[in-house]
Amino acid sequence: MQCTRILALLAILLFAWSLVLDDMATLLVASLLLSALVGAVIIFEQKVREAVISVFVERVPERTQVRKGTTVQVTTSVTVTVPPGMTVTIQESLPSTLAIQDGITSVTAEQAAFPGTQKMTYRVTPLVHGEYPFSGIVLTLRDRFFETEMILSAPPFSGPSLLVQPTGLFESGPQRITAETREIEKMSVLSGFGIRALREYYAGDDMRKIDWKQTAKHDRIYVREYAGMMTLPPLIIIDLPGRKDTFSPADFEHMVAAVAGLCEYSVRTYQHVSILIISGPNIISFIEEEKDLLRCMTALRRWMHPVDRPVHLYRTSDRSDLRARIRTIDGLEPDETGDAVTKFLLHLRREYQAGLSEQRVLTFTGQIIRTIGQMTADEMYVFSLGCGDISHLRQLVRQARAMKVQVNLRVPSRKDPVWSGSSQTGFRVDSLEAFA
Amino acid sequence: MNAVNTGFLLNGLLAAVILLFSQLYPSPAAYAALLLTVLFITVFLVTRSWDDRAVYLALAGTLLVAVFSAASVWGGLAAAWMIALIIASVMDIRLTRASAKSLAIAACATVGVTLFIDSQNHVPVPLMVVCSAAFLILAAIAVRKYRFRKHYCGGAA
Repeated sequence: MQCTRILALLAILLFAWSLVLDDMATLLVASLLLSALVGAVIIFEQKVREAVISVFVERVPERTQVRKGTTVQVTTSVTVTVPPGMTVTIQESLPSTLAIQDGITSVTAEQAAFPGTQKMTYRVTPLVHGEYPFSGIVLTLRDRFFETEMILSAPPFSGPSLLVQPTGLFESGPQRITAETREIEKMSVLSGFGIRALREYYAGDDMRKIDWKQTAKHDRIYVREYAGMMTLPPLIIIDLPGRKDTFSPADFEHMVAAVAGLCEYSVRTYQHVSILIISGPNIISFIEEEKDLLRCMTALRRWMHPVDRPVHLYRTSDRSDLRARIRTIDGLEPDETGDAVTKFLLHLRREYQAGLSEQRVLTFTGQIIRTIGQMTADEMYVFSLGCGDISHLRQLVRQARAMKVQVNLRVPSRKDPVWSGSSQTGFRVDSLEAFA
Repeated sequence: MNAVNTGFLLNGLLAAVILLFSQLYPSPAAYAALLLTVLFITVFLVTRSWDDRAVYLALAGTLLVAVFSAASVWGGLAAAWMIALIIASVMDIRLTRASAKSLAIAACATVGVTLFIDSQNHVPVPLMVVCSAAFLILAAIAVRKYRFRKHYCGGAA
């Protein structure tokens, strides 16, 4: 392209020179240069037509109906004949409402004897609900002299449509999902060696568990209750930062290293690991009981990067938060006839009361309950950089604790004001440690 | 024969063409062209490992053709063809059935342009004719391109 521009400029200068000096020789040179450039344009346009006519696009999304924030894998195959001396770059043209998570959305095809099929596989996350047709492809064709771009958005190159369903902030329907009503049923199959308790014998008890010493001493049959053996691996929850969040790359690397280390430990010790990847109140991926460390690391490599957050909680307080605040205000015993501060407190209480009647269970909370509920885990490790709004972590910790799951929070620094007052702000975690 | 040998052969042919025409049409411009041929060959040798070698060769070649055309218009055309072939060999442009057809059309076009310029005494009229022709061709290409894009690009055309 640069070369073509220089030659075009040279032709113009020579034309000007020939006109000023009335020099036929210079005119001849300029005309020949111009002829060469026009010839090159004609040849280039012919090649572009050949290439574009040969294009065949086949686009296969994993699903055509998804919920906002769900990641969808799309595979696009483009068959194109590349004319001699040309290179063709094929780029997927995606609606702006789809955020590309990873994968290949652009390939370059070189000249080949037969039409070559180029495959692009990528994953996108719809950020806004609605119907979004895939808009087509962008072909960038270039040879030694020229380059052009063609947006192929005609029906043969575009589609299908991706129907994105909205995601509400709250759970739909009158039915409330609460952790309090859920039955927690944890049975330990393997018993350990330690004796947890002694109790009287009941019909059906294992005869081998009878403690003969105690039986002889009390003249009643006593059996030993052995302590259960804990072989449940912890659930690892990774809270990825949003793409627009400001965070320290070093902290993120430390978090990745810590997560990878814990995954490796879990696989080696418990033979499998479960990882829940979230970003704010968005469930990104759930890897359940992965036994293969290599596959686990591949999944981590694929996901451990900042992602777009289509849903935000905007520091939403849930019902228990609001009730706690109302109780705090009630504890101060404000009076209608009091000063401005008292009036403000009463006004605040009314607002909280109004909010309480409107507030329902958050969608994210429901998702967390369903995810943790289907697992057998006693312990979870939550890794977070604590960027921006962390009310989703509060929801997560609260539900986990309600299910009697031990929560270990891993953050960049314990001294960070976000975490230092964690117990006061609702983060009643079992352990809080820094991974940095 | 590889591109390097073709390049050297074409440079030799260029030198021979210049020498021949300078003998047929002896003038100060023809002798200057001989010196510029040496310059062109030097550029060809020096820029072997440089990027955008074609640009340097095109610049040196333009100077040579401009000076040599002052001595002989047809000699200038012959030199221009030699230089075009040298640049093509440098850029590794292979001769195919399609490119041979384009080459033949280009040869006819340049001979036509040279004939027309040779028949004129002053620059303004042939300049206008050449520029108008180029403009008309480019306009026709643009219209054709627009219709093509409209068909394939849908609403994005």
